Amino acid sequence: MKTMGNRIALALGLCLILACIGFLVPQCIELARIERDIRHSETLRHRQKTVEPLEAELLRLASRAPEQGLEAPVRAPLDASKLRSLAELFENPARRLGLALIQLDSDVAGLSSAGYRELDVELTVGGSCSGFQRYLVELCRLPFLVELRHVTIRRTAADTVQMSVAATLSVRG
Amino acid sequence: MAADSPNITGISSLWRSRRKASSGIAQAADEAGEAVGLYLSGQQAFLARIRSSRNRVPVVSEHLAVTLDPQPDRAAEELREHLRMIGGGRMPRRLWTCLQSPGMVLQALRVPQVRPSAMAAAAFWTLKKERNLETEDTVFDIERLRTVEEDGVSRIELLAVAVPKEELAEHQQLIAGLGAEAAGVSPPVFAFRNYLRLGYPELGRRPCAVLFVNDASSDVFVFQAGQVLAVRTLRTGLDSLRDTIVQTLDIDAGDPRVDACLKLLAGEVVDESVFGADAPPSAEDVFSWGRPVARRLARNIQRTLHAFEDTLEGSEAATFFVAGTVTRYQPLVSFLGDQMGLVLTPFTPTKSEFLQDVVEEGESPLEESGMSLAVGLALAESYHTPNLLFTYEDRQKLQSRTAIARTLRVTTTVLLIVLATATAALRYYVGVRRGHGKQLQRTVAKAAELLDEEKVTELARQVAARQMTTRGLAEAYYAPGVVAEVADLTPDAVHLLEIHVGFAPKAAAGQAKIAPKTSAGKNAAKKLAKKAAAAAAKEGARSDMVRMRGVLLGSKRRLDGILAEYIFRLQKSPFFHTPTLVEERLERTDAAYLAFGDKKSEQILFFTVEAALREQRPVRKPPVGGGQ
Repeated sequence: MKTMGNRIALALGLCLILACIGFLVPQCIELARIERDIRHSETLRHRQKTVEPLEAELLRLASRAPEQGLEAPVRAPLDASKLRSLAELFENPARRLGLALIQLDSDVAGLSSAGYRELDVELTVGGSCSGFQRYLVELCRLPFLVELRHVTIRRTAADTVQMSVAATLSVRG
Repeated sequence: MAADSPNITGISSLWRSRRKASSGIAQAADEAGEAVGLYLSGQQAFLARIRSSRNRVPVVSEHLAVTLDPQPDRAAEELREHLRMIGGGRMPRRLWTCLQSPGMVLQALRVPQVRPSAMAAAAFWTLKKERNLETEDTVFDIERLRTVEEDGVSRIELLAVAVPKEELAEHQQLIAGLGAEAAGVSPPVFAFRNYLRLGYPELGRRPCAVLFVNDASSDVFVFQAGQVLAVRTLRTGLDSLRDTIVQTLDIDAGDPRVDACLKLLAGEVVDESVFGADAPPSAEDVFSWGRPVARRLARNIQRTLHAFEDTLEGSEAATFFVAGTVTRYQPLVSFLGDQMGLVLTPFTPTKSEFLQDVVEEGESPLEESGMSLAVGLALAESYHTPNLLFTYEDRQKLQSRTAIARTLRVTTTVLLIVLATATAALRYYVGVRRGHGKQLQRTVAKAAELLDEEKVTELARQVAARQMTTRGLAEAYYAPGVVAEVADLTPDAVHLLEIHVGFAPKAAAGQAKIAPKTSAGKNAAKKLAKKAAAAAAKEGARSDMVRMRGVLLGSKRRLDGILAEYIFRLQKSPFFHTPTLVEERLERTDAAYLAFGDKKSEQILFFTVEAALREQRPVRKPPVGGGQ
């Protein structure tokens, strides 16, 4: 009887152990799945935390008001046929701003015969300092301007100021 | 229990009450259970039923002493009925009997220290050196007694019991003939030991000996500390007395006068007609005939006890019990005691505080000692007792199995507890982690709603476009920006005479790289590259730079401060870096010639400051269609 009791107790114990193992294994699998999901969510959250300041910065940048009064000039070479009226191209804006075009030197003779060419010009205008800055802006808006090489503003007398500009123009044809 | 009395059943009501044994009393049961002991002595049968539980004193729940019919068949029938009666209406399930066999070997042995599983084999081969034993013909059992020192070597002292298998089989057949099955068969010495353990607990602390004198043989059992110390079997018994009577009267052994003489010696009433015309002898006559026999027996017993002189005779507290057939003849018992110089105490339950109820007043010592043996056999279940049907090796195997089962049980329990704890902990942990995971998923989902990927991409695109626009504006209006920055940074006290902003000829070099691959284009590219190199040489090492030349009017200390502040302003501007004062000249001036500034100034400071333009001006892209 005692042996039978022992056997029954052992069998019951083994059954319970098997039941526990049978319960433990799915729990372990479930835990592994949850941990995998948590790692995935943490990765996503980490990315979100990384992107959030970027989004805020992008929003800040996007919400800034665009620059007023300036527009990006569309560059296009100067047609060679207009080289004759080159002085007018520089004098007209100067006149509108109350400046006087004093001198314009260009190396037209040095231009190559065909294709894309660049023309160096040097000009001098006289007037007020505020007019010089606006004139420079007008020069920069010229579509055939390649670059400004140097700008010199010089006081020539007690009440006269001159600005010399050396620029490179693109010429076609 | 008179000899001619009918069967007597005694219910020890007193002993039915369960008595809790104190820890100091040795008679508490080792094992729990209920068993019946059967002792047969000639025509006498003694039965006792014992109920015991662990740590409690066993209870003699029922006992029975009967005189059986001389006819074997009738006797067997009567005994069967009595067994059923003592078993509560059915054959006892746990029946212990006593085997007294001339071929039985009971001997104390000393074997080397061996592991328990090898002890039986060691004892058997030790005994085999002295006795002619064969493994296949012998049932062998041992009881471990104690560990002793012998010549400085530790040895195990044990009691070995060996019985021919045939005799044990005959005994089992006898019991089976009664319709019962013996659970255990043990020699009488262990029945005495059990009985002493229960009935005489004080003997657990001092030695005692039992002289078990029967018709065919005599046994001397020596006990110490509740264990069997030694067993000696003498071939001399009371049959010698019968032989003496036969020789003295010159009659046959089966003559009724022999039994009549023995009855006279026992003090019983004798039918004098068996002697016929002769005058019957007196009890003294019979005693005188048997005196040489008794003397010889006493000498043999004395020689045996002499071996244990140190244990028994040296101890004043030693008790010498006498049991067996000899107790029927009180004069003989007294004579034996006188011869040995010992006080022989009849082995009777009436002398025991615990067992006095199992006999009644007026019963003969013979019957009392028989009942003692029955009680001792029934106690075999309560105390560990050698069993010829379930030997030491069987017990070892069972213990081994029990130990394995116990280990398994404990392991299973521990494993179960660990697994249950782990399961509960894991379940809890899984719940916690699941909650954490869900909360994290909610957070991610909530953030995902706010952080739309398309929206961010669109924003990035817009910002990039705006940056490209801004970059284009910065590129296009860099020169006016520099001039405006200089104008903003120049304080009123500083009168600039010249501002020169020089740009490196990057565009020319850049255009040379992108010139068309035609011959004309190649020529143009060469020319542009040459032009760029010449321009670079003309502009010097410093390409993008601004140079400011101006004057300051006032005292020298003030002029230095203004100039330092101006340079500091230039340094903080994002357009310039490392502004350097390349020229500084202080002159006295005549205010009358000044066309600007404070007319009271006496000193004028001419300075020239140069600064590099920061790398903010990107390389210009070629005009659309240019170079094609």
